[in-house]
Amino acid sequence: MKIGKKGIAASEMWAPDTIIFWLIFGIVLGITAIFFILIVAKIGTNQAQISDNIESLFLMQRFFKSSSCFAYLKENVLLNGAIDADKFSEERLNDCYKVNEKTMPAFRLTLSLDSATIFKTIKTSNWNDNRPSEEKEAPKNVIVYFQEKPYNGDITIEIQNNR
Amino acid sequence: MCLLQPAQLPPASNSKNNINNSISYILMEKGGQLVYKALIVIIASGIIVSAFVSAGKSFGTQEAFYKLALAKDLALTIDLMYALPGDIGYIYPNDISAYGIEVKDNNVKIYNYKLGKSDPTTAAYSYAGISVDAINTNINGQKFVKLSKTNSQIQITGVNQ
Repeated sequence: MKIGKKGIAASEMWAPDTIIFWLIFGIVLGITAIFFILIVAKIGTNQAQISDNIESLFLMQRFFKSSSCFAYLKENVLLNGAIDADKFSEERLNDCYKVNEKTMPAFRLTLSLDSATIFKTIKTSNWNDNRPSEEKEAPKNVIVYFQEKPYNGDITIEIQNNR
Repeated sequence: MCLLQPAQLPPASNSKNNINNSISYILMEKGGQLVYKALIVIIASGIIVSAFVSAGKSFGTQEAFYKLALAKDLALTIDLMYALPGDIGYIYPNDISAYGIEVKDNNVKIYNYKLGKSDPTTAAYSYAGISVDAINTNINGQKFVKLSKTNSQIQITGVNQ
C-alpha cells in the first residue's frame, strides 16, 4: 500500500501517543460515561424512589419531638408536641438540622403566639431566600411554653427541595 | 528518521565497535520506552473496560438500584431516629452481607464489598445530622446493621444475627 507524505503526516498526528489523541479520547470517553449514567439513572430511578414527601415529613418530626430541637422538657420529661419558645432560635435550628448538601429539604418555621407577644421566623442553613417555598403547611396549633408558662400558639412550616 | 542526535554522536576517534554499541544502546532505550507506553495504554484501557463492565453488570442485575434503596432506607432511618424522643435500638432486617457501608459526614454510602470503595456504582444518600453527634462508621461483610440511639448519639454497628 502506498501512502503519500501527506498521509503519513496526518496518520502521525492521530497516532495514539500524541497529546491531542488522548485529549479527544478522554472527552469522548467522558461524554459516553455521562450518557450511560444519565440513561441508566432515568430508567432506574423509580425502582428506588421514596414515595410522596415522606422524607420531608420524617425530617419535620424532629422540630416537635426532639429535645435537641424545640420540644419542651418539663422536669426532664419531654412533652410531646409542646414547643419551648425559649429554644426557638435559628442557631438551635441549625444545630438540630445539620446538612451538608444544598439539595436536602430546607425549612422555614414561623412561630406565633395567640397573645401576640411572639412572632418569630427562622430558617435552616440551606434555605434559599431568592426562591419561593415549594410547599406551605397549614398552621399547626401547638402548646408553646414561654418562660415556663404555657400558651396557645401556631407553627407554620414552609419547605423547599421537597422530597 | 535519524536515531542519533549530533550531540549523541560518538567522537570520530572511536572504533567501529564503539559506534555499533552506542547505536544498539539507543535502540534498546527507544524499545524500552515503547514497551512502557504500551503497558500504560493496556493498563489504562483495562481500568476503563473493567469499570464499564462492572457498572453494566451492576445495573443489569439491579444491584445498583438495590444499593441506592439501601442507602435511602438507612438515611431515612437515621433521620427518623434523630426525631424520636428517648433511646432506641433497631436492627435493619435486610441482608447486607454483600455490601460495605460507610456512614460519614451526613452521608450514607453503599458499595459492593468485593469491589470496595472503588465500586463505580457506589450509592450515596444524605441525611440531616445534629451538631452534638457525628456518625463515623464502616461496616463490611456483616449480615445486618444495628442502629441504636442513646442520649441523642447514634451508633451503627454490623451484627450477624
